[in-house]
This record gives sequence, C-alpha cells and structure tokens, in this order.
Amino acid sequence: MKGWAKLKKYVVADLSTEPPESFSLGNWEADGAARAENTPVIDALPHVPPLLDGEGNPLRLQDKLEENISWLKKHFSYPQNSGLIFHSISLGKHSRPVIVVYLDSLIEWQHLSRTVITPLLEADLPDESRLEISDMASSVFTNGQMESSCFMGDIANAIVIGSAVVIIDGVDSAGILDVEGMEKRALEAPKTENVVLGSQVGFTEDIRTNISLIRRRLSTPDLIVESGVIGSLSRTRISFAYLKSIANEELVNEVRRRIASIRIDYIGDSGMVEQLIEDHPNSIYPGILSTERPDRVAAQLADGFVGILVDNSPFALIVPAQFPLFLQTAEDSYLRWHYSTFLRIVRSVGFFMSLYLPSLYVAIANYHHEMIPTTLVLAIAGTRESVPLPVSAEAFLLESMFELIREAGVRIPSVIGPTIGIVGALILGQAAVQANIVSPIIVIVTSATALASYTIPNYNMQFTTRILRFVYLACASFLGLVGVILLSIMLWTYWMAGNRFGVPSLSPLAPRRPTRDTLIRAPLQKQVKRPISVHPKDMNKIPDEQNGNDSMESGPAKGGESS
Amino acid sequence: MNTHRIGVRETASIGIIFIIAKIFLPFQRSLAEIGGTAAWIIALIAAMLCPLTWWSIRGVLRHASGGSTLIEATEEIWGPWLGTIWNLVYFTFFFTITFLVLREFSELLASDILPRTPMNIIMIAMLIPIAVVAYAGLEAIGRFCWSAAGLIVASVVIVLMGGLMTHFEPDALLPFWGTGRSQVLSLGLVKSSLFSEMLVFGFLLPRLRKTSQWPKAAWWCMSVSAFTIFITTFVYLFVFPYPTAIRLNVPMFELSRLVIFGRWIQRLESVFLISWLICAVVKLAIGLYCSAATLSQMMKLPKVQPVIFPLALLVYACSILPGSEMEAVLWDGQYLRTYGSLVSIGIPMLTWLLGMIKSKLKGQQT
Amino acid sequence: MRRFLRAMLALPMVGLPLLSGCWDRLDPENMAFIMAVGVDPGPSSNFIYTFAVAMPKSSNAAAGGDSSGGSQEQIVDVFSQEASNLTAALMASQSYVARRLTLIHSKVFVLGESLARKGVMPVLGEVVRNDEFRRTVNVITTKGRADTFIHSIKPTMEKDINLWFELELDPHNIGAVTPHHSRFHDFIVDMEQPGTGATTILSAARPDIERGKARIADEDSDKKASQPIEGDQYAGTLHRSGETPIDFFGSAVYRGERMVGFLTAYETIMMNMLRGEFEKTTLEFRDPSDEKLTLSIIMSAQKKPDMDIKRNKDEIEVSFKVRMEGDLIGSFSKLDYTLPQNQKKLETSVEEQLRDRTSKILDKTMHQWSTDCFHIGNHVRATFPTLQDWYAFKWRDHIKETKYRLDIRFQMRRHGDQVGPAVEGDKMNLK
Repeated sequence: MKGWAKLKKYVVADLSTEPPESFSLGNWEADGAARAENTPVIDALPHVPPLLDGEGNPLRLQDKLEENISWLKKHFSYPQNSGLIFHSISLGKHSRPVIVVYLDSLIEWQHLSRTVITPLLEADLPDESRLEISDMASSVFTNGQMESSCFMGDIANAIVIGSAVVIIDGVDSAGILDVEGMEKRALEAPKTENVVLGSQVGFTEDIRTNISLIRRRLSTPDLIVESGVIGSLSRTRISFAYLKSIANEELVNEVRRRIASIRIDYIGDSGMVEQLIEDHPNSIYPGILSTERPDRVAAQLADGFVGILVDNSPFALIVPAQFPLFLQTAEDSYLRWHYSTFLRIVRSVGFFMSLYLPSLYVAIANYHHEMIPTTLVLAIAGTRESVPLPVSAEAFLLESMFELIREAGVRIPSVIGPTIGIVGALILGQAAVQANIVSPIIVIVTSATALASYTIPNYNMQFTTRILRFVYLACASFLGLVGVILLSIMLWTYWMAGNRFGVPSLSPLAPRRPTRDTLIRAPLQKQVKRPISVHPKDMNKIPDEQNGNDSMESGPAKGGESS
Repeated sequence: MNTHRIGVRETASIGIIFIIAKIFLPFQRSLAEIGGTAAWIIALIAAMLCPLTWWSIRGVLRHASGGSTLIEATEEIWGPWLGTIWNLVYFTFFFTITFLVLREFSELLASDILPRTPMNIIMIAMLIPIAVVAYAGLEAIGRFCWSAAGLIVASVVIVLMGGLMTHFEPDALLPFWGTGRSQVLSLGLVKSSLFSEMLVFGFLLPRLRKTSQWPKAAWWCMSVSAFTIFITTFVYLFVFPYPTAIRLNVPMFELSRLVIFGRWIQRLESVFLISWLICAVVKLAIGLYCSAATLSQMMKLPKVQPVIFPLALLVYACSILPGSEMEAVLWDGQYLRTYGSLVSIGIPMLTWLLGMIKSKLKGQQT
Repeated sequence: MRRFLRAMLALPMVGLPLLSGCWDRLDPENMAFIMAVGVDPGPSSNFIYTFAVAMPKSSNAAAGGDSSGGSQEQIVDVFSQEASNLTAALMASQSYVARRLTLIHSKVFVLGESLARKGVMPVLGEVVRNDEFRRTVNVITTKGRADTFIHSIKPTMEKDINLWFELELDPHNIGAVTPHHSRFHDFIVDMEQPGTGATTILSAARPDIERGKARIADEDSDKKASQPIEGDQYAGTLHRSGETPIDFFGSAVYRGERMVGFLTAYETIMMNMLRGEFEKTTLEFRDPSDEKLTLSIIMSAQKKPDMDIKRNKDEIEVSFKVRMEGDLIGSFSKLDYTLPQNQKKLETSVEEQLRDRTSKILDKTMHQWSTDCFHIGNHVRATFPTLQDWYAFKWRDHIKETKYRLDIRFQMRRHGDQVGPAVEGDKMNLK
C-alpha cells in the first residue's frame, strides 16, 4: 500500500543504517566523507546522444554523396518536411559535387552565401584528388568557423540547430558551419523586475545573447560557462555559469549532477528546469531564484552562487537561493545604504503583511476584541450590523474575488486594462459595501494586503504568500491568534528545516551567520566578506593588493569552510 | 544516526527557551507563596546552583567516548542495567515536564483566551505543531529557537517595563527576608529545580562543532535564563505587592493585562500571547524531542523520528490525567519542582564521580 | 478509484473537529460592550448591578450619510439587574439583552455610597476572579446611588462614550483634583495591605443640572465676604450649571474595606502632593496682601517628595520633604509679585498655607480616620526583618499615634504673561 509506506516513517522505527541522502555544503554532517564516495562525480553536462546503427556503433558518413543525401532525406522525412534545402554546388575545376544542406527557416541567407556558398564557388583548391575537409577550413571557409564531423548524428543535429552542412563527394567528413539567423528579440527592459536606478536590460530568449550579457559584466577568464543539452525532444541548450575561483566545487558538482540527471522529453522554459532540479518539489516555498536581470545574476555569481541559463527562456535561475534573496532587488546595491535599508524594511513589512494581514484581522475581530480600541470596535460593530456574512466568510469572499481579478488582469487586452482596475475596485469593492454585502473595513484590509504582496520582488514568492494567506485565514477563523501562531510555527519550522542545494533555506538568518546584507545593508566599504552560507572558496570581497589581477593563479588557498 | 552540527547561538537559544518557558506558568506565584517578599532571593539562589548541572554534564561527557550524548554516556559508565534505570529516570523527567507543561498551558488558554473551546481541541491543536517541530530534528529546533529567543526575551522585558510604568509599589521587596531567613535559604536550594531543564545540554553538547564552544553556549544560556527568571520575579513583586502576589493565577499574563500607557496602548495581552505561545510550543517540542531521544538512545535506535508520534499520543493521554488545573499545578510544584534537582544535579554528579573513579582505575591499570 | 475513496475518507476525519463549530468565534456586532458597572446594596444582602452599554454607531458612512435632526441620540443604554454577584447579574441580564454582554471594554466601576460604607471587599473579591474583568478599570465612589450616577452619564459634547470616559478620567486632563491612580489594581492592592487607605475618585450625580434647575446664587449683597476657594468643595456641591450632570471632584477614602469619608478637591491635591503623584494643576491661595482675595498659581512638583521614617519600637515619626514650584497665573492684588520682596512674601505665604492644609489633611486621615493614604506603611514595613513581624505589628493600630513633620518649600518661577498688575490709568502714579 503506497499510503502505508508514506505513513510508515512516522510510526515504525527505522533500523537501517544507511547514510542519509541529503546534500549539504559546509560538511556539517560528520560523516559527509562517507557519502561523497557513494555518488559518482559527473564531469560534464549531457549532450545530444549520438545516432547508433544496428550494432551500436555510431553512424558514419558514407563515401558516396547520393547515399548520404538519401539517408538525410529519409531521416528528415523530405519532401514531407518542408524547409530542408539541398543546395548543390560544383567544386573546383573538376566539378566535384558538393551538397550544402540546411534548414531554411533557421539560417540567414546573406550569412550563408557569404560564408559558405560564395567561398565554395570561388574555391581554388590546390590538390583536388586528396581533399580533406580540414584543409578547406583554413583555405576556403575563411569567413566562418568550421567544424568537421564524420558522424551522421552530429550532422543531423547540426542541421536542426541552424548550421549549414557541407558534404563533399568522396570525403569522409562533412564540414559544419554556423549560419544561424533566427529572428531574435532585441534587448529590452525586463518585464517583471523594474528598477529605477540601474540598467534597463533584461535577458532575451537566445541563450547566446544571455551568456554575452553575463560575460560583459564579469569580464574575467575565471567565469566558466558550461553548456549542454537537455530534453530528448526539445534538445534545449542549457548552460550554467560560475566563477572558478570563488564558487564552491561541491556546489558546482551538485548542480552539474542534477542537471545531468534530468530525464524529460520537452523543456519549455527555465521554470521546468527549476522544478526538475529542486530539492523539495512538494514544498510551497520556492528554493531557486529566477530572475530576468543580468546584473542580478552577475552580482550573485560574484558572491559564489551558480547561475543557470536555459535557451528560449528569458529567466535565469540562481542556485542556491535563501529567503533573504527573495526580498532583495538588484537596485539595493546601487542605492546608498540608507535608502536601500529603508526599501528592504518596507519590503519585509510588505511580505509579512501580505502573508498575515487578513488572518490577523479575522483573528482579532473574532476572538480578541479587547485589542481593538473601543471607538473602532464600536464602529466595526455598527457597520457590520447590516452585513449578513460573518467576518471570516467576508474575508474569504473578498480574497477569492481579488484572486479572480488578479488572474483576469493578466489576460485583459491592454486596451481595457486600466478600466479593470476601476471596475474591480469600484464596483466590486465600493458597491459591495453599499449593498451591505461586506463591511468597509474588510475592503481596506484586502486592498492593503494586495498592495503589500506587490512589494515582493519575486514572482514565485508572491504565489507563496497568496496561497498561504488562505491557509492562515482558515486557521484564524478556527482558533484565532492561537491558530495563526500554531500554524506559523509549523510552516516556518518546515521551511527552516529544509535545505536547498545544501544551504539552509533561511540562512543567514536561521543558522546565524555574520552578515551585513540582509535587512540592514551595510555601506559597501564594510561589506568585506562574501556570504558564508554558500561556502565560497574565497571569503574576501576586497582584492589583495599584492596579487592584483592574478589572484586566481597564485592566490592564497582560503579554506572552503570557516566556522 | 545523523549527527548534524549546530552552532553556539542555537544551542544557547534552545537551552534558554527550554528553561524560561516556565515564566508563563504560575511559578512566580508559587515562589511568592513560599518566600513572600523574598521570592527573588529564592530565584537568585536557584540560579547560583544552576552551574552544578552544567559542570556535572560536562564531566559525564568527558569521561565517556567522544560524541556520545548524556544517555549513552550514562549507560556506558554505569553499565547496562543500572545505566538503563538512570536513563529511565531521565526519560520520566523529560516526559513529565512535557505533559505537565502542556496541561498547564492549555489550562491557561482555556480559561482566559479561548474559554469555550473544549480542552482536548486545544491540546491537540498544540500537540500537532509540537510533534511537527520535534520531528524536524534538533537543527530545525535550533534554527527556530535562535529566531524566536530574541523575540521572547524582548517581549518579556517590554511587559515588565510596561507593568512598572503602570504600577510601582515603593519598597515592595521589604521586609527583606520575607517569610523568614532559614525558610528562604532552604527553599532556594530546593527550588534549584527551576533550572533543571539544563539537562537538555546533555543532548546538545555533543552536537557542537568544537569542545571549546561548550562553555560559551552553556554560560550564555545560564546567564540569560537566570536573568529572565530573576527579573520577572523581581518586577512581579513590585507591580503586584506581597499579599496580592500570592493570589493571582498566572502572573505574567496578569502583568500583560495590566499594561496601560495612555489611551492607545492598553489591552494588549494578546500581542504578548504570541511570543509566549511560541515559547511554550518550542519548549514542549524540545521536551518531546528529549524524551524521544532518551527513549531511542536507550533502545539503541538509529533515528529519533519514529518514536515521536507514539510519544506524542502518550503525552496527550497523560496530560488528561490531572483532574483539574489545581491538580496539575500541584503535581508541578510539589513533585516535579521539588525532586527535579535530584534528577538534574544528583544523577549527573553521581555519574561524573563514577566516571572519574573508573577512568582513574583504568589509568592505573594501563 | 481507491485513492479517491481514501482521500474522501480523510476529509471527514479532518473536518470532524471543525464540524462542532468554532467555539469562541464572536463577531463584533454580536457583542454588547459594557462601559460602566455600578454596584448598590440590594434588598436582601445582595446587590443591584447597573450596566451602561455603549450603543453601536449607526452605519452612516455606508448609507451615504443623512444626518439626524437635532435630537440627542442615546449613546449609552443603561439597565439594572439585582443579583448576588456580578457573574449572576450578567447571566440574568443576558436573557433580555440580545447581544452578548462583555466586560472587556469596561472603563469604570462605580461604588455607591451606602455600599462603600458597608464594606466593598466582598464585591471586589468576587469581581476580581472574573476572567473578563480588567484590573485597569477606574474605580469611582459616588455620593448617593450608583444607578442614579450611571443614568446621569449624558455627555453633551461627545458622541463617543468611550472618548468621554477616557478623557474625563485622564489625570492629565483633570489635573490633581482627583487621585492620580484610581484604578482597580491600585485600589485592591492598597486594600489588601494592612493599614493602608485606598482612595478613589469621588463623583456625584447632579440631578438639578440635568433638570436644568441648577442656579448659581446671585450676587451677594455682603461685599465684605472673602472670595471662597472653589477647591474646597466636594463633588456634588460644585457651584455650576449646564454641561454633563456629573461631577468628578475630590476623593473618597477607605479604611480597610469601608469608606470612611470624603476629601475635598483641595485636600486631594494635597494628598497627591505628599504622595508624589502631583499633576500640574492650578491652586488657589489667599492673597497675602489682602485676606479677602485669592490668587492662582500653577503648581508642579520640583521633584518627588522624600518620606523618611524613624521607628523607635512602637513610635513612628514621618518627615515629609516637599519641594514645589509654580507660576503665578492670576492675581487680584495691586501688589507686583514679581518684585523680589513681594515674591518672598508670596512664597512664604504659600508655604504657610500649604503647610496648614497638609497638616489638616494628615490630621484628618491619620489621626481622625486612622487610615494611611500616603503609603507610609510601605516604609514602616522596611524596618522589619520578616513578614511575620510586620503582620504582628498591626500598623493600623499605630497610625493614630504617628507623628509627622513637614518641610515644604515653594518657589515662584514665572509670572504669566503680565509682569505687574493692570492698573487703572487714573490710579497710576509714576514715581
């Protein structure tokens, strides 16, 4: 019985002595060494699996051009599959047949012509009898970067990612040139994370643009971007970036391991990757930070975190993410510390208000009337006299109504977008009050809560508060403040107990770590240490004066764990 | 067994919360009953005896194999039969604390905050978070305690200051010796059981990363909890002078009800209730964890978690045992708090002594 | 299908405790908030409890607000119930009050005069056990019956009964004419100490004002009468007309659980001064230059008074050291009190008058009524080593023989907005 298996761990003593499966940075498990030996270390991200023939050998390019062409036509279901172009060219004095294969929806014709077609047409080859594709790389294809491969798997893969493949009759390898020319979105301001003082550039869907945006901000050879492919059908390109001298090796290995173990057919967005690599998929709290801003990613990389970029997704993932990160924006470091501290306090208050305000109102109005000043409680009693619903029902009703409005507002055509604000606020709120369906004070509470939830910078965290708000509301209706507190204890402990990528979810608050960057941001001159929770290799932010630029080669080996 | 490490601050916070949660129960009243205006002297004497527990635990752990908790060390030093008996006594001690405090706190909630809710709903509603927190393990408890300890001590201080501003009786602490010098001094010795919850350090100390961190955690815990217990008794006598002091049901609650400062800041006892409820739930979670850990270490189980659910049921069953609030307070005052110091000071000291003798004998042999 | 069934089974198990209802959930419109409780002795050794419940405000905002006419809305609803104790009274009243009565917002606890003279400990002792009753309510002793008092609560300026209570009973508003701390907590704590005299605010209902029949006496033909000091009145005899038909003036003093007498406002001010709870107040004094005239000084305490006890076995001597300072705020005299020699005269006269009045009140409370209103007992208690000795001493019996010494100094600080007196032009001569 599956249900019993889930219940068993609470009731029956577990006498097994296997080491636990959890991963932790900082080695606060005494027997961490034993665990490290059990799991295999993965060296690289997965790439597209090779095409194999009947015996399991990788399929190779045939000598005769016609065989290759017919194999490609069959593989791509030509001519049913439109877009595959076989461009034949005669090469050299002896008119050797050459085929350039490409998918016309992926390439740019000018680029193709300049890089491949024209050089081929004008090619002047010295010795045509013994032609090697590698010679042609330096002599013919001087405008582009040519790779060669003799495996059909690579060739087929190259065609679908927008390269042109040059197959020459009698040559056993084919040349692959990148002539990708898909339409890309221009760099725009990020849609969800707006700042006032800071760069107005957000990620786009093209992974190479995104990588360039990060590389531009961390112009150091230390920045390592490892790439791979995940998804058997979608073959989505995925990269993760880290700073070699700073990021903890175990963390990097763990990220690599998790990405490599993704088994799925289609990856649509980085959100799917996030769900596939996170520690607690059933937890309501997010564990990975997704951001649209390259400066945020670069700042976190400089602190020892790891950033994950997924093709076709403008959202990058930052691992591991702890709770304070969800309430910080990129702007916090750019403003002076007074202003950013003030903003952080506002956001923290907004977070707690968004989570607790309706349930606190219901608890106090229903169970703890003595807390309300007498004048106010008499006013509430007066306005509520004609309202048919009890306080908790009112609160549920209005909160649900507001969730409806919010969800509808996402899809409203922008022409009538502003109208819905007026419609929602006026008709649903004000008229409901005048019709004596709800009392005015609950409208105030709900609007304040909704506004507060928009101060949370992270979209995932907003969902957490929106959902948990209802759970708290239910407990407040049942047992008042006592219920809210008891539920809070349970939920916060559950959050605190979990680790995300080996780092406690609430550090540096919960296992207390010295930090100068959570609620009150210290001046930049005083922020000399990197956050210890991710156990970076180099704790000091301020570069050594003696070493200067070459700190990574001969830099002092600072220990990964400092207590 | 998982041996996750915890830090100094978390250890100290666990100890602090475990000890000071009793200020929200009628303990100041019982001190005032027996000591009169010298109740604070009793608290002071009890605080001075607190380090004995700490030293004896440290002694026991030193003489046992490294990394073992108090239970394992006791069994190691005393041998299987006698050691198990002493461990059973420890288990009874932690278990009694848990169910009695659960009962007392539920009585407080039932009489003042939620009068019409049936008692078992309140107890079950409290037991569920207690079990969840205890199940999450000592690291989670430590992290939660660290965040909550500051809040709790701050709210206590605010209530005390508010109470003082509302009513301050001059010379409330005099006559100095209260009900009589000899009685006060002897009762101070007996009431050192106020700090007998220091025994939890027997589970916490092996989890610290370095042995040099032990004294720091222990002294922080002892000083903050001694300060809190002392200051609440001290201020309580100023705000509710002697004859009134022996008549109130729950002193800190009444103190918070009394706080009034102008027109706006009054009737705020539910706000302070928040922090006290957190304190009580966490203390009971620690108590449940300690009982579960004692039991599982006695039975040599690798994990603590499976024992927690059955023990929670047992706690619920036992907390229904006292027939009335008075009986629960009686059991707490007369039995637990009178003989508690025997368990917390006596047994570890004997164990330490035996451990010293044994290691000396071993040293002579080799 | 199986999983669906199992999930459905879980639902009633989870919902079972919830089905019985949320026991304590009470919407604010279901509650009747009692503002004032009054106690009078009842016909057969029981009591008559009078309750003043706040009327909920009508929801004018939602309806778009149309103001009612000039008629005064009732802002409190008053009813009385005969019962043996407060909880029984509440239970009986619940039968005819639709909303649930609750004491959590109560502001005032009124003791009728006859009950006060009989002994209030039974009432207080019963009420203090109630979990809704708050120790921060103000205790008021009225002349006459408490139900008359509560029926006379008719504020003229405030629509909000809570505001009226809180402002009226705020010592910062009312000055030192009533005891500074008159809360239930102070009252019962004082009562539980041996020998102490608890004090409460003294108030009285003024039915003559309510009926509009109060008349302040007309101009007196006798021009030789000296100006009376209004502070020498008790509540109920204030010479006024109009405004709310309730006076709060002076205090009621208890010996143990029985009320033993009243103090005028001036005596209460002196009591506050000796206790060290002096709120900045205006005090009237006899003008040293002319016995018939008065002058007003805004007094405040320079620092808290020192109280020193010397105990020699059974003889106790108390010495009070009081330092007051004040601003001259009103004077009829033609003397310019800002000149140094006149200032000295004023200060000496004020000190003498203060000394005179404080000895009168000390005599009245300690020697005549044998009650200690100044927490002298606390200091006497300090001279005993244990509680048993203190209780064996029986402080109440020794109050009559307690001697006292007064050391009162007054210093004039400011003189208001005018330096010298205003003099008629013809009478002024410039020398």
